[in-house]
Amino acid sequence: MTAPLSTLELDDLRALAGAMIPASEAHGVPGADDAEIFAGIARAAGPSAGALRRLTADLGQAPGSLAGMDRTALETRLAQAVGPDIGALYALVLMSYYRDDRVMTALGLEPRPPFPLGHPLEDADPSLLDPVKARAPFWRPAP
Amino acid sequence: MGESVDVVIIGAGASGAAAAWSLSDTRMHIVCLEQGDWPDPSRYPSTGRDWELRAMSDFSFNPNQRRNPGDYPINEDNSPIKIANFNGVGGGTVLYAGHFPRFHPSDFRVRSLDGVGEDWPIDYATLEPFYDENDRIMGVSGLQGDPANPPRPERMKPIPLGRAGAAVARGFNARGWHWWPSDSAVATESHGGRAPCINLGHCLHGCAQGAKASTDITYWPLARRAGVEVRTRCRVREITTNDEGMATGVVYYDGEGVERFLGAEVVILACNGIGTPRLLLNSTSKRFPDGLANSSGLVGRNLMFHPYAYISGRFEETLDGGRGPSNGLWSQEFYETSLDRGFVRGFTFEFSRGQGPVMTALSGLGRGRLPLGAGHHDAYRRLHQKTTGMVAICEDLPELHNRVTLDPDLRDAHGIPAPRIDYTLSDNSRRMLSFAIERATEVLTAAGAVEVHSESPLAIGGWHLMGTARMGRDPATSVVNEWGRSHDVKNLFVIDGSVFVTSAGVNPTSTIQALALYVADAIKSRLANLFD
Repeated sequence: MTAPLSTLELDDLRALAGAMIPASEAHGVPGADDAEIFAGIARAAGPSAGALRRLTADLGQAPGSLAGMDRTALETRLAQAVGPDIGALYALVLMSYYRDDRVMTALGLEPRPPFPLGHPLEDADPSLLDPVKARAPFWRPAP
Repeated sequence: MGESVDVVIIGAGASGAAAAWSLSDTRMHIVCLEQGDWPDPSRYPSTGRDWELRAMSDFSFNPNQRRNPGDYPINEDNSPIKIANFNGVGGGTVLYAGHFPRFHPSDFRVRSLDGVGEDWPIDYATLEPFYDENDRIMGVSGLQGDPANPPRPERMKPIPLGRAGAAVARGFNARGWHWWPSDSAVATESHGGRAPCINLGHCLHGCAQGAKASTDITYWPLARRAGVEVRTRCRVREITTNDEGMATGVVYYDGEGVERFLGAEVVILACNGIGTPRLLLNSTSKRFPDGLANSSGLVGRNLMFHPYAYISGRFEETLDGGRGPSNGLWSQEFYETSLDRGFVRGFTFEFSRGQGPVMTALSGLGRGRLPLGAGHHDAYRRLHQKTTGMVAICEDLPELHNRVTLDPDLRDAHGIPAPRIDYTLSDNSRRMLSFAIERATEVLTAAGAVEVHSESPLAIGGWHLMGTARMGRDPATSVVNEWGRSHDVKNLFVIDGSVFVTSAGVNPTSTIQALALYVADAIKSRLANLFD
């Protein structure tokens, strides 16, 4: 069983999250290191603890040191990282980030589950089907 | 003396439910044993904010990932296509998209027409009344008049195309190719007490609205009112037989893990193309040392999936995202054999609408379209609600080496040997998939896509499990006869996708259910001499 993340490791994870998805004033969204978003990431991080430790080691850093790195340098290092560990951590961050109310609202989505209100869906122009309706049946008869 | 009933049905999914309902009018004592539980729509993923995440955990298609108490493990290491199923009342219909095409008449005559596979011992005309009856119970939306198919009975109005469907339709029109609003087991109007679709967009992980026809809310309420009993969390270990070679009942573990025996005059297997051969192979005895109903040696062989290609395009215009059913239109322009394409048989294109916010991010990441850091937000907005596409569902041909066996080591929670899958994609399938990707790329480009991505074969796409106990008239080359009865055991029937002789190039659920109704009808019409 993987040991839970220490406080220092959670600091590292938060730094990584912020480097992966930074806040954007232009788009009106927080970064993935936002306190509320990161709380969700931290809750789900258990299975990714091994990936975080390996990635930190691969980056040549001691636990807790990523949080002190320059953001641009960290982004550069992350961009060079390959393999399943960085993929797993990126997925962990994305899955929490794109459920946040502020992020969904900025994307034009209502921050709610699909049920019970559902969604409107447009009917298309029925004349789109006219050329197909004009075709003779072409299914193959069988003996 | 243990408990005994007239009929035991193993499995409460698409076929078990249909057969139970049909047989219920005989007033026989019928019990259905289901290893999973009743689904609870109030807990389906689309009722919560974590709906996209749960599609990858407790509502994943894949039992090895889902690991619910009703699931059993499957060794699928030697298959490029992984198994998708659902173990619970409703079976695969709980997690299917609701695509409801029928086989074509030509699909029953593959050997005669194209010189491959085998002909079925029945034809389209035999199944047609059962297709119609099944459509009535399940509730089907669509549009009559499709030139690619024989006539259909009246349907509920089609699922709206939405912006994404309209874009794809324009692409097909630009190529001059067939498309049509698809037959879908999604109610677009109130049907049989079910509310109409409100475009939750999460059909594949349980429909909280109840608009999608899963058999827990279609056949089972009817069958239970007529007296059929469903026992959940009951996993069958083996079918027992007597010295005369007749099935005597089943040994199963109940919800508390207690081993029980249920005697039965008739045993009906409805466990899908993996579960059925697994149970037959686990039911060995002195008389049947190679497994039950296996004198042909074909139990577990000829496993067919539908190899899928997924082709998506990125558009500049805003489309539907994850809002609305994933299905809505199909194209069968390339369904029938044309040898100049470089392969035999064919495929259906099925529209795949779009994705929600989390899946947009994850798929963008997986395809290298979504970078880290400063460029992330701009890149995400180029994908958000701007992708749509289609899948190509390709006919798989039966091959002996594609098979289900018992894994020598893997066991389920009750210690029952688990299935192992050995499957190789054929050269014919590879050529068909490549052709389909090229044509879909043309469609999406004509529709305005600025970028096209494809994945083939779709690894997660082992939804359709067929061929592993096929039907036929010759006991040397088939497991059950032309009305679903085992050649070897005259009170044992198989009604799921295992009996398929060939796979066609369409989703199998409506055909599985039509066959179940047909076999049930055959049983009812032969009750006086059923075991002769």
